[in-house]
Amino acid sequence: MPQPSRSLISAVTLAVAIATSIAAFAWPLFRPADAVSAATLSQSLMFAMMPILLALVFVDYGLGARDTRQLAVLAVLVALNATIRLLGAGVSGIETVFFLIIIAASVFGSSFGFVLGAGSLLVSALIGAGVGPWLPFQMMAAAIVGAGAGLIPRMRSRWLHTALLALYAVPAAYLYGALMTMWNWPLLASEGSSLGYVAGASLIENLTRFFNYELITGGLLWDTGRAVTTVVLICLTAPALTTALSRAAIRAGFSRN
Amino acid sequence: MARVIELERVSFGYKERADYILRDVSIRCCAGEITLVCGATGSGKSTLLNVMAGLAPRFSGGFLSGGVRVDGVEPNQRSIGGQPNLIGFVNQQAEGGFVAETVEEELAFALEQIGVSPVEMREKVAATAALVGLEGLLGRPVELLSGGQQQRLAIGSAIIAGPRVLLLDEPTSELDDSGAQMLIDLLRSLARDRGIAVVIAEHHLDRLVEQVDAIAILRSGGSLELHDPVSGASVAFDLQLMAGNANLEPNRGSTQRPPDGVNALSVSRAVAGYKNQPVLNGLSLELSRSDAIGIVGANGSGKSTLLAAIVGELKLQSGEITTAGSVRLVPQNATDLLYLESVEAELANANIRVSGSASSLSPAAEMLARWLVEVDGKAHPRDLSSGQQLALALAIQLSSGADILLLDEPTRGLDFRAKTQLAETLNRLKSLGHSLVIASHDLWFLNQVADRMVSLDAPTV
Amino acid sequence: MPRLHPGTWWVFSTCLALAALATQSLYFAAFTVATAFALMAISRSNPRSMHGIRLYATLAAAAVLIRLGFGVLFGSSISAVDSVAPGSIAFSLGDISLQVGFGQSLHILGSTTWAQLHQYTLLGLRLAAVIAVVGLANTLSNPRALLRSTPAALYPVATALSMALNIGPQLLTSAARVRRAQRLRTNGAGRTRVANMLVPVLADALDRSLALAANMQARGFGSGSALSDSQQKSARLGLLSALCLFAPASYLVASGQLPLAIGFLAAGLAGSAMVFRTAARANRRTSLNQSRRGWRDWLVMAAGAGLAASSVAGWWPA
Repeated sequence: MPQPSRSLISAVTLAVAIATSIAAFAWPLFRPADAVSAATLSQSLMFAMMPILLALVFVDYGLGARDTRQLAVLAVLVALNATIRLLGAGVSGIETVFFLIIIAASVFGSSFGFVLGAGSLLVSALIGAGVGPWLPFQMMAAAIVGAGAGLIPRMRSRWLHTALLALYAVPAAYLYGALMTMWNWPLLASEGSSLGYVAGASLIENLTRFFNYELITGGLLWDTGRAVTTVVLICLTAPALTTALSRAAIRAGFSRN
Repeated sequence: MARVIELERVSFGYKERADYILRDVSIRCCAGEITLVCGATGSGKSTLLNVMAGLAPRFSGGFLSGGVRVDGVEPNQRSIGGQPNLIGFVNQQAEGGFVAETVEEELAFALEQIGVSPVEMREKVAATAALVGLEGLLGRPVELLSGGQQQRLAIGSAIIAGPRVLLLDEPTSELDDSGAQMLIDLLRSLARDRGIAVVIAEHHLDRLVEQVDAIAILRSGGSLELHDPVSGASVAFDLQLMAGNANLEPNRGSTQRPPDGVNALSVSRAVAGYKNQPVLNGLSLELSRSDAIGIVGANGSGKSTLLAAIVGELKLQSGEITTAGSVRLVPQNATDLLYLESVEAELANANIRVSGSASSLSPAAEMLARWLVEVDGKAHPRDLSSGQQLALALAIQLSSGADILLLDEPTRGLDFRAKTQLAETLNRLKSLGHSLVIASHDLWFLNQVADRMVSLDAPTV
Repeated sequence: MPRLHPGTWWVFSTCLALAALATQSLYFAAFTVATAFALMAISRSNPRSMHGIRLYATLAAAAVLIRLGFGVLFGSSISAVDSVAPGSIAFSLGDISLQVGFGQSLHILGSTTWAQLHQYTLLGLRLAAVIAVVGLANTLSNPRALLRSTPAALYPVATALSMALNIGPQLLTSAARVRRAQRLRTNGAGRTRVANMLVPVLADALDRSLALAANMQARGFGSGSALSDSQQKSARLGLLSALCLFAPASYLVASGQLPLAIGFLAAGLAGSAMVFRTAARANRRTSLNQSRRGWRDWLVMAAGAGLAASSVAGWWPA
């Protein structure tokens, strides 16, 4: 029997972890009216689920990455990202954490992008942004953005590549926002209230309610701010950073997988 | 004495490059002896150490032929990580090159990796700290150590697991003379008392040649010659790998144009630095056109403060600085000025035209640029040697017309040949009418370029 | 305060957070918030905690207020909450119908019952309690120490993250240096300021960290785990199978089918525990400041577990 390759294991692991995490974000959408257990119990289990999922992907990455140089590159990018995030914090609508995740993930691949996204949020929380119950969810959402960016094909033309990255950044910024709003939705809006979810309602109905919640709470405004900042920063820095990172990739013995 | 390192007809190179970095290198290093490996920058000293440490080719890529044995074992047969109880390795950058937060954790790192019990670890950490003179500093964060302490910490961390071999890559380049002497004494005692075979790759030879047991010289092309200290020193001298005593006299070419007395810069009774503790205390100096002045003094004596004040970054608390013409500063890390992907792009960005007859603002910049493009215009600035990087930074700063050029520690990381070239360049700049202020602790270099010296340690000269 | 294992407060906090989320008791939620802030205040000797207390107190208060505000604003039209909390009306504000977004119109304001107010406060306090206990763990345990004492399987990523914590401050000094240098360079703005700053800082940091990696490798890093290539691959496959058990578990939890979900969860946990064990067995690394759990740790963790059990069992008065 042919053994599955390293990169195949990585890819499947990422896919399963991300698919599993979607339930932990968006469980109100799936909740039937005749659920056996209380919604709060589901919620508490999801709080426990997220760190476990992250830890499992981290372990897998650690088992696969055996070269210290690649960990060193990861460390530099996590540190840079976390620092940049803190520098950008405080100005509303500015979100500086994603451009580097997207650019680096497009150079180093999905697994790296996943760990970079999650690690950046973790380290920036540790060095000042504050650790809270939202952190594992933020980490996973950023990790999904990073893993997705790893799939962007590499273009010969630097401008085309930058354009692709910028194009990806827009839905990614809104996706991150939607996931985080989805997380606080059941926490802040009562089940069944005019903004909250309704157990057992159709997916369309609940998505509509979710959209209203996003609209009323101003979430979409933040997401737009995030998308604009990320696109602008990508356009400004992607050509230069891609070159610098590709050099590092060669020196650190990365082969893109 | 037991032969600890044996290299037998070793060649090493990278596939993409046709030429070898090491060619047919054979060397034996014995327990208890210090071997000095010298050669110009880029001659492969670091590569040779990496081969001995088993880091090349596994860690660097490339191919290796010939026999490498350390303590009778071929490195290729070792496990993935290094073996800290066989080989200790101290690489070039001590600053920022630490794994842990505190001195004791840094020392313990290698022991942790090989699974030494915590009790035994504490004993060894204490003993090693005492050996390298860091006792009492065990809990201190590594970034709060001085340069010399950091270097000794790096050595302590490398020898703590009791290796048979200690490899050091340019350990003295960032140290002043007393720091370097302390380091050499430490290495001597390690070799003598513990029977460690010590190998030092270094281009600051002047302070080492008399204190080692053997000298190996790497020639361009990758071949290695072995010498005893006396003959090695003279060969190194012939190859211009070291300054030697004969050259210490100021050496200025006959093309020199003497300072013409037109005043370029005058500093009078300048006081600058921190509010309550000024670093500069009423310094005065005068500089005329085509004049060069060397600023010397220990670390923290105010060399960089003075340059920052002249270039206008720093406000004086009292006193006055007047300049005639534009002032440009080349900072200590020349690479901080560079951010584009190739030499040509950087030059174009600075509006330096290399070809064509259009005269640019500065003939000096053009001259440097032409040389750089000849070397390799397509190269990434980060891939250049330190000397070439400095030349590029110089060209960029000169391109906007620098009547007064300030240089902060320009010889950092340069080997002897690069230093000589830099001295030539600076002398040519002087004859083109530029005035220079050079802060450096390299007296030999200042002697080649400066007309006068000002020491910031003592009252002004 | 005696030094505890860095993981102990996290276990305690996780228990308390789960307890708070599952509780139906206003008193328990309030008690948890109070306990967490009291513990944070006791440990004020820790300089990081003062800043922390203020941050978490603000967030916790905001959680309660937002929850109440949303409840009063948007809670009116619904049968669901009414059925949970029927009763006398506390206050009435004019009922407004708004047509925003898609779907049916939004009902805003309207009347609010005492029972509803109670419910909103409980939900708000629950969230506040989770914020408070996570804040508690964060203030009481040094994150660096926690990264150092992670299980062997997490060691590579934990190493990268603690390297990142060390690199952070270096980046700031290096950025300051580069900014100065580029102010000195008068010509050639070239590209953009952001890129001009970032490229040298990044290149510098990469150079340094690659040198550091060589240094670590030379000092035996990576030799501590003796998993062969095939063992490594089977460990990864085992991990993937564990993950595959979590996937149905999470969707079963989402759809409220807890008993079945718990089966999958337990199987997934057992699978991941086995992978962690394999990695731990192959590990020969030791630690200078090895933190071992003592009786104090077990006491604190037992207290957390006890509180969680009491909450889930519903011992606290609503």
